[in-house]
Amino acid sequence: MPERLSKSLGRVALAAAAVAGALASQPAVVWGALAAGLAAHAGAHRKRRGAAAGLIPIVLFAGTLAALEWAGRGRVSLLGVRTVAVFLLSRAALAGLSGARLLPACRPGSLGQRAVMFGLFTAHFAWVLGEEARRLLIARRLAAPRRVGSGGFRSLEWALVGLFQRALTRAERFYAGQWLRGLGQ
Amino acid sequence: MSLVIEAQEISFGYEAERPVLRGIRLQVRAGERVAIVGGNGAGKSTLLWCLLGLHRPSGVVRLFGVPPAAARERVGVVFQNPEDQLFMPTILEDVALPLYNRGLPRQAALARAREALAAVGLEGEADRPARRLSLGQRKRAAIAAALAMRPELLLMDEPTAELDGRSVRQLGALLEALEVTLVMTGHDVEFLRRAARRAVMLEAGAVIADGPAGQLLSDAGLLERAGLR
Repeated sequence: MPERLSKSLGRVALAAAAVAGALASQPAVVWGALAAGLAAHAGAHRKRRGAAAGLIPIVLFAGTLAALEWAGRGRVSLLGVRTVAVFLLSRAALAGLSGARLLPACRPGSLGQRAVMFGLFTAHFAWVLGEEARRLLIARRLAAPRRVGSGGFRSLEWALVGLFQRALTRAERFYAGQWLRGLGQ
Repeated sequence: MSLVIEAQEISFGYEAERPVLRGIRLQVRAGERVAIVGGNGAGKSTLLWCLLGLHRPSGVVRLFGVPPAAARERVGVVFQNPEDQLFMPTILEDVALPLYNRGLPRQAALARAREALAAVGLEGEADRPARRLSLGQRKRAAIAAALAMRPELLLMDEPTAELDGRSVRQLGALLEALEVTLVMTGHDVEFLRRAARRAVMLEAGAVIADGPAGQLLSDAGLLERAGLR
């Protein structure tokens, strides 16, 4: 089988697994999707340490979701597991594809264009969020001498609140900027 | 000269009891170069957002005689932070993107994008992402993205914010050469005195003066009142 075809089939399989992980109601399917996602993630990293470090942001995000569920409903669903699984599988399915190259091939206003734009916007916003988080954590390190203990935790709490506020402001401006250019609607 | 911007009695506040804009009246005609000047919190950026239709103030806002959303294709905008506008893997793609979106074929869009980047002196940086450029270059890339759409009205929010002296001079020379109706907000009095012909001064959300930029922006008392000295 030609390499290009097998790669495309592999992408389709990963995308199908991501959809199954997102929609399935049976826990076994969700856990299976997670296992497939972790395998794909490990396969993309030569070093185990690099693979583990790459998981930290999404695991933190899923952990926050689970904590919010616990705080709100007193129990935790499979939402966090589903989130990690879908993220890893989608990333593996889309690895190496350049949204910028795909975009001119998409008809303006088509579903394909919207999907590519969504990917590009998300990637850009993840970068913005990373930059904002880095700046806030540097500011916290300079302002709060204690990283743990009551002062340290309090400063971390306010840094996170600040991050959400900044993320919201940046998202609003970014949306406005793209809307004015005739995009993002 | 035809009316490009018409704002009648516009008022706006983020909180009901604290208005940011109070009864602003503004008319800008084709070919004018207007600076909206004021200290921090005077309402400059909010006014710009209202003119663009991003906020819904009370009163009437019209661009080219129609509501802002209907005039969007005739308006170019450059925000204070270029990262709010540029996000593609290269600035060439960033400039070309809205052109594809309007149905221009890829090659034609790229050619027009290259032309716009050359106009702002960034032809050598076309294949780099915005995040790898200096702030001055990013501002120029954002201007190129706006110019590629061939707007009749260009709105710029704090164009010189955080720029060094050389970048400010380059920006000034670039704006000088543009043949569009230009509206800029800011508090860089020296720059705006050179770049604009008319100044509208804001203080606490209200217009306190409107007239020739050279005259208003040299008036020490007025500058003091607007919190610019």
